[in-house]
Amino acid sequence: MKDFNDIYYNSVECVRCSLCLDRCPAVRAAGTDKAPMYSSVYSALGSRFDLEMVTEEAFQCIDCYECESACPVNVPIADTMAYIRRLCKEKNTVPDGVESIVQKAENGENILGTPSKLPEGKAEIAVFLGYAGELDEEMQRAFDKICRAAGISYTFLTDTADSGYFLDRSGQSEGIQKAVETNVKAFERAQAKVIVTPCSYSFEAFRNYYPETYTYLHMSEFLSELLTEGKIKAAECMKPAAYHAAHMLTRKNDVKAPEELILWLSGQKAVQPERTGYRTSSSGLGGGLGLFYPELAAAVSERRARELAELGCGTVVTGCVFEKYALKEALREKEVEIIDITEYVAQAL
Amino acid sequence: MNKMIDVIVIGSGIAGVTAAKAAADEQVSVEIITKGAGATMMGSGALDILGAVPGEEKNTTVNDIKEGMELLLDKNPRHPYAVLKDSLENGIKALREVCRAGGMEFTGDGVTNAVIPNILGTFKNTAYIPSYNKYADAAKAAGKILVAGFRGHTEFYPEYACRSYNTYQRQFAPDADAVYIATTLELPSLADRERITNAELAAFFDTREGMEELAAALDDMKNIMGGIQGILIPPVLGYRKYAQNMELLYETLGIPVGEIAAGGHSVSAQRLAAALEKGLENKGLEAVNQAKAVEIRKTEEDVFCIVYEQQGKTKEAYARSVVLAAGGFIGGGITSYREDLFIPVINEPLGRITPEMVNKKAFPGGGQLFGKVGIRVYDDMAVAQGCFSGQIFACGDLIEGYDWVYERSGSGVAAASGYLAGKNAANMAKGSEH
Repeated sequence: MKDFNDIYYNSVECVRCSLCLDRCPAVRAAGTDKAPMYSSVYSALGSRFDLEMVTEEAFQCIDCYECESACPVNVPIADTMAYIRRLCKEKNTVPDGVESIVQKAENGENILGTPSKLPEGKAEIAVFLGYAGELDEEMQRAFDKICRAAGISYTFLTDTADSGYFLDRSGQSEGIQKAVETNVKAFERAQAKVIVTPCSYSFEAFRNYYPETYTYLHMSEFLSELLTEGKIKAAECMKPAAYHAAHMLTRKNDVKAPEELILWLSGQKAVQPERTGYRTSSSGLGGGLGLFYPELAAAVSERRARELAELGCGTVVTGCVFEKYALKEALREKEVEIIDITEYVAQAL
Repeated sequence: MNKMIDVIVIGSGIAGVTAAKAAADEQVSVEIITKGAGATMMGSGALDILGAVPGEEKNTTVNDIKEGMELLLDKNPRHPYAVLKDSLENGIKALREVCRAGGMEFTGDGVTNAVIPNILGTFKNTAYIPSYNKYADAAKAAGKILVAGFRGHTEFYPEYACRSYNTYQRQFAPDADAVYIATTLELPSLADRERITNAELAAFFDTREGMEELAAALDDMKNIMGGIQGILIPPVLGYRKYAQNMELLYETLGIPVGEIAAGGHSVSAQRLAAALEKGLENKGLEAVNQAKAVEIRKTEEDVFCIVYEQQGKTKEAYARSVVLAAGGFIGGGITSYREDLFIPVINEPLGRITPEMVNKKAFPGGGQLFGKVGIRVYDDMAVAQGCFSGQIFACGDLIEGYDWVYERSGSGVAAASGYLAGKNAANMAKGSEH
């Protein structure tokens, strides 16, 4: 997390070109005239004194970083938004409706719904499901199928807390330490050595806040290893699929495994929309930040779903269960199915 | 040990892309390290060579580029064009080749400037115009031309623009003889919008419904007005499908529909940036994206190590030869700490900004002196100052002595210097291999 000095120093360069606003999915989904205060965002950035003026906008931000990659002068726009969210928390000026969701995360509840209870287990390979993964039983069954085929034992981690991503990015920086401790205890209970997660946001959190005593793998990397080592065997049997790149994998990290798996299993490059790779577009939920303004999130999700449906594949594959959860509704209306990379690999066995 | 690359180019704007292409044409391995958006995103999407010669009182508009060049060098013999004018043709050729591979075509002969009505209500004279401007050339315009804006579009007011086009067209194009007629369109899907931006319009026209509504609205207007010979609309015909959209409108309406030229940070600039990126990819030129070069140093083996930050990690790349094409103030190639100017990636001071360099009038005759700040280069574009003197190459907005804002010479100098820098860097890499 950047501090005020970083933000102050870097935002001096803002030339008010408004390219960030052109790209911002929240502005685009809501329409410029319906989100007029957005112009204040970069005014605030420029003046650096009225950060609280843009409280609402800061919580509408879903941290997709499209603004930053469009900025000609490298102003840390998304980080400024995150900084404002933290400031609001400190000064108790958080908008209505935000607090109750954040409270859930702090209490270790699932912010998306109520998952069914999973049995506790012990294994070297432990899966941190994340909010969306806990609810996604298809993905869990697919993973089970793969592990049986590979003859490896695993366990799903139980009684876990927020990975730290949502707490951090929604401004609750003091809650992170507690969440990390809870999760590390879960790792210890399971006697795990390798932590696999199907959630790209959790993966980003592991990279930033967790002890290095464990190996952290994204699900796609884990599956890719199984295939490379020959533990599971799959022929080129899959139909080519459209691919939605999760921005935490391609924009913030350099994880290309989902694309490689699609190429491997279908013999063809994944079909991708214009905005992909390091320029990929958000699914709307942004690891939970979209929950604060659900209508806005739905509009962003709708926009991305349209791009994906235009590709003309019946199935969209994504590398992250959270992204699947976010896009599912909008894609169902367009009669397009979305599956996680785990399910895609399981189907090929 | 990381792999060794012959030429690493820092920056992927017009200069960087041309340098990479020129180096690759010399059969060496090339890699671009780029942070992404830069000054290209802030331009108008056209390729200027020379639009005006700054004068003490008044700038001279350039129609014939060769004549303009003579006048410019007569007034300012140390202008980069004195060295670069012979590389201009090759540079533009290399650049256009990349653009074409990225799906963007330009028209223009490099001899005469086209005169394109712009979004501000004046005219832009520029050498190479993208295909979407080709039906808008005021020098060839005649008869009744419909200029259509959109209700709620705050960036273009057709009434004011037309008044100005009609009054000033002859100043820019002596033979121009057109009557510009303004109209404001209301599209059904946008009826409830009070305010709409370039970006939203462009995204709307990338969809089929958007184009259907536009075509229908233009057709209505054309029939009501009668005798219309051409249509101009603001540069919002889509981010991706602009070329198809223009042909589609021509087909449906039976008369040419052109886009007027954009101001800064426009949809057209983003089209050019996208075309450059795609062109590099299709030409097999590798680019490390989202990577900000932070330091260049020389290793014991006498090669260059470029340190860059990507996705929060610090990485290194090794090259036999380096081209700096990181841009000027916009783009991050040059930055300042208080009054001190420097090039951050090589930590090279460029002196200080003094009050004499800044004219309080925003657009004074003769230009702003600080606009000419940059690094000194030799005739082969090798850097001529600091610890890398004679060892690495620089091009584009980084080099000193020209003021692209006034001269409208940015793309020309960038392409010519990029070409020279890329070619010479490749030759240096070849020489150092043994």
